[in-house]
Amino acid sequence: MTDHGEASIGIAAQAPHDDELRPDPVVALHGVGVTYPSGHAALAGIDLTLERGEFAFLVGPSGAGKSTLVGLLVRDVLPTNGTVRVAGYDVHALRASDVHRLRRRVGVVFQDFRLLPRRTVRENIAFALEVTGAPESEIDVAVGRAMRIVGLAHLADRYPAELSGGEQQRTAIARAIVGEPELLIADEPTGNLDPLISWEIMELLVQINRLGVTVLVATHDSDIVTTLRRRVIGLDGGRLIRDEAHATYHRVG
Amino acid sequence: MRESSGNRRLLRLSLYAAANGLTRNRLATIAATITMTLMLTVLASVLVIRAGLDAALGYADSKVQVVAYLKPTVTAATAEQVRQQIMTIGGVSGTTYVSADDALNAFRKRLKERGEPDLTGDLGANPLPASIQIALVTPADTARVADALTTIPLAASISRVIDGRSLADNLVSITSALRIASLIVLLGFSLAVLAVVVNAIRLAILSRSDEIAIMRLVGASTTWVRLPFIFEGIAIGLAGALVTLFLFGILSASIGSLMLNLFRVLPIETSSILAGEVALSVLGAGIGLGALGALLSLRGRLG
Repeated sequence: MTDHGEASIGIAAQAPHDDELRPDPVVALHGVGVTYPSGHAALAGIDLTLERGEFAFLVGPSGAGKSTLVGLLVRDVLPTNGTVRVAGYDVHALRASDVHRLRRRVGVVFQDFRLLPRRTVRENIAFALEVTGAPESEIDVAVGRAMRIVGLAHLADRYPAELSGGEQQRTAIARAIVGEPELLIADEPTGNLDPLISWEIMELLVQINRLGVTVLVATHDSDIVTTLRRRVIGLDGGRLIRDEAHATYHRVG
Repeated sequence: MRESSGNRRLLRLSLYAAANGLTRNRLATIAATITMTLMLTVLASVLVIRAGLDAALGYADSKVQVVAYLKPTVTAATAEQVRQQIMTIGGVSGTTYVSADDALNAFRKRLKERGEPDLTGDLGANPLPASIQIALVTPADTARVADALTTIPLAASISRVIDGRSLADNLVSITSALRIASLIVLLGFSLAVLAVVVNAIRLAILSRSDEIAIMRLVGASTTWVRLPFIFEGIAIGLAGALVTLFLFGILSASIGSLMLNLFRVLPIETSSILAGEVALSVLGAGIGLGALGALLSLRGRLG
């Protein structure tokens, strides 16, 4: 399905199992609560860590707090109380002018792809590095590598409108990983895709995780969660109601 | 090395994004440029008129002087003593004795220049008095010097004093009023221009909200997100300034003759005014207002 080859070199160089060298978890939330100005408590008392190289699902019904949690991890939302550390950054202490540093360490993929329609696949992926001010030579290499990982090298010059949903999501994933992030967050990445393509996307995310990137997938897709049997973090009513390894979508028993 | 390459790319991509933005919101861009041109045209006109008024004031200042007419019985020797006493008055920069004969000769010369008949030959005697023309350091001293003439020891030799205080006062009050009026007009136009530029940039932000969201998502710094919009503001200002200068270039001959008509008596060089001060002011004001409008529209946004 995807064209590995030398593609894995760049990200694999981050060493998926180098926990001894960098023992800090990629994500560490302690006593986190988020209460909106309306008084609605979107999250309360959340304690959660994601170790380097982990793959986890974030599940829960609509309104459970999944989006708020994702927002916290990219500092779109600030905690009302508690501490949030992501990729070494204390999210609350981070100044607004430094938020981009955190976001360069966290790749995000959404259900609606969010590609730039006037840019080709290659340009969409390169965009993530262009805005960081990376030199052109580095961008070319990194974009080529990301396209090979997601299997899009042959579609490099196509525009988003010329791609299928799955291909657009691959492009979004390539853009999210081209900067070699420590954490990849996929928020309902298969929500707009048919089951077969959904599985292809999930396989791709698993493969990226094998390359050393910590992956957190927020999803409603019970089949995928249950089949993959990874760590499952469950939210309901803004509270953490379960955190189990090798789990299914629904709590057993 | 890496940083300078990144900065060059930032500059290039920001300029590219700004050009795209300007063409995408064509109507807002044109409206903003027209308003900017209108304002800058007013600015340029005010500058030219003010330069004319300044020249007029300067010329009038140089012409304002006090003239002390001497009694017919005053001899040349006494006149010289009067002149020396006048020189001791503070604010007097120079004096010239004009004898009755000199005054008559000057009068005849003026008649001849105008082509008018010289009837002075019919007069039995020279009716013109001798005088001492007093040049002043500044026109503001006119009244004081005129008053001081009555206190010099030989004040009795002076029959009459004429000063140009009313001319100086009128010129100063007219120029002050025009300066204030032009400032108010300029301020009003500047605010209108700022409002239009802010509106144009806000429309640009709105039309590119998806792109901005993605830029922020992938870790673009605030500078990266904001710079294209600041360039758009500057481009609107620059375009307005260039159109204004182009119009003034075409109209410079007409403006020159208008200036000559307005300030007929004055030796004003309008072309140098247009080339220098006006060009710089128009460019500076255009770019400055464009950038300021963009910064105002970005305030609190795209953080």
